[in-house]
Amino acid sequence: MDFLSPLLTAGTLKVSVILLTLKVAGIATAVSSVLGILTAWCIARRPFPGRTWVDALCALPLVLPPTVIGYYLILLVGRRGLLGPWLAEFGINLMFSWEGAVVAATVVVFPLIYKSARAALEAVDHNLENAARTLGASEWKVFLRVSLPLAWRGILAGVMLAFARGMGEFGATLMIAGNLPGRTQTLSLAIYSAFQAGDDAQALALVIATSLLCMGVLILADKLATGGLSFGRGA
Amino acid sequence: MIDVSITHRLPPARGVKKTGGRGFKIDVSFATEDRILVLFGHSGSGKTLTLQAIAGLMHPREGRIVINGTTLLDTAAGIDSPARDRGIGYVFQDYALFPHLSVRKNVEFGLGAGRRASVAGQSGAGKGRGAVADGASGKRRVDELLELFEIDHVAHNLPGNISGGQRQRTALARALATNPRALLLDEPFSALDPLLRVRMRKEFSRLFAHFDIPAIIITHDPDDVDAFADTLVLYEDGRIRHRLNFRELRTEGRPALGLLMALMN
Repeated sequence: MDFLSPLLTAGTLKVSVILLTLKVAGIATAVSSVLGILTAWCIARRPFPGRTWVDALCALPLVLPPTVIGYYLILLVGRRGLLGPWLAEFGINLMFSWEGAVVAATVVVFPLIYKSARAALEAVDHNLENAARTLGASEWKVFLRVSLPLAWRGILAGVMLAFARGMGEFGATLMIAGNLPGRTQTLSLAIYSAFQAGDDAQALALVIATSLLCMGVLILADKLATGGLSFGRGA
Repeated sequence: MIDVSITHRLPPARGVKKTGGRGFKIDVSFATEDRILVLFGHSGSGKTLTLQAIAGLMHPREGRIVINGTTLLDTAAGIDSPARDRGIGYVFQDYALFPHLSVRKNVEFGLGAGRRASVAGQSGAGKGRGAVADGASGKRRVDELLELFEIDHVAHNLPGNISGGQRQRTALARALATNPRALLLDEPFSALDPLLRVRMRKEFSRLFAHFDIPAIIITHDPDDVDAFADTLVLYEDGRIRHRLNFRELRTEGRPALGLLMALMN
């Protein structure tokens, strides 16, 4: 078990890297959850012209290379980008900042939440939503009291997947936030740096830490999905 | 008073052979002053579509729906109130109880919805029951309903954990809790076993008399016609084949089965 010894050496494992990674992935997942679920709700409700195109656009980050996403984001929020100067007026600079890493991760994980939320919302029995309408519920109440609670389990699976994916984000983050130790260096970036620098012990420690975190997320997701709410036998 | 007149054409559904790819056309018109109107007909004759149109869950191309003097739909005048404002109690065929909410929460669901004020203003339908009010009196009304429907002892159970009869009572109590203008029931007894069906019919007759709200019941069971029909409307292929004053026929002591077999062939 020689390869584990670096893990036990004090100071090799950078707790700050893990905390930054959890912060970036956590905020990105939260933001993407709100946006993804609301988008899925709007799109799942009824067909409209161009729905297929909007759906494809929402799923695009899933298949685009992360470097392409990073490039688009630079065009959008970079210093000379579309929104960059406007953001700068509010004192917001996303380039080479941890907030930039959040933006990158948010875009990358969005399709995972959107896709699962749409599937879960569409699987809700429309009769239940109609029943709520005949009882006087507004569309917003139908969503909050009926659709969302019934779709929750399916949505949660996507959210957990998004969080795990967000922790491993590399390409888009590197392009927009760079790889600044202590500021924007997340787990996967730190692993790359350590490996490049020939610090195998550090790299291995971070690799194992990442693997354990991801295992934890997957197990938690499974626990939430199977051990969560149970409505007994259906009507 | 219920006055319904709708025309609509559904596009042919993919994979449905029944309509021969021509789609389905519904063109019906009926009115009644009676308390209970029964829509009788084969599956796919447009009965459920009619209820959906009345409840505002389906929007017919042309039509007019007036209940107790309130116009819910009038395509010629550009009136089409959304389902949530119509004040129609709908008991779905599979009850459509919210599986994640307790029996009590199901019954409470419609309380606090904005439209009750307008329903309350129309006291013509009720006989002095008074309007549902918010807060304490709303809670009291739910308590009364749970007791009246004998589901107070399962109030905290989820719908998945109660019996078929209790589920049905919950669905009716939920619809009545909002003090609706009219009640629509889609094959209310079809999901029950035969013995329970007989019992629930008796219970429902008692409850209908108690609440005195105009109701439309869909069925293809002649026993339901015997038990409930004041007015009987026979549907066939999206059209009305017959409209009968069944109260008179009932006093003549004629069971519905023979009559329906004669009329539907």
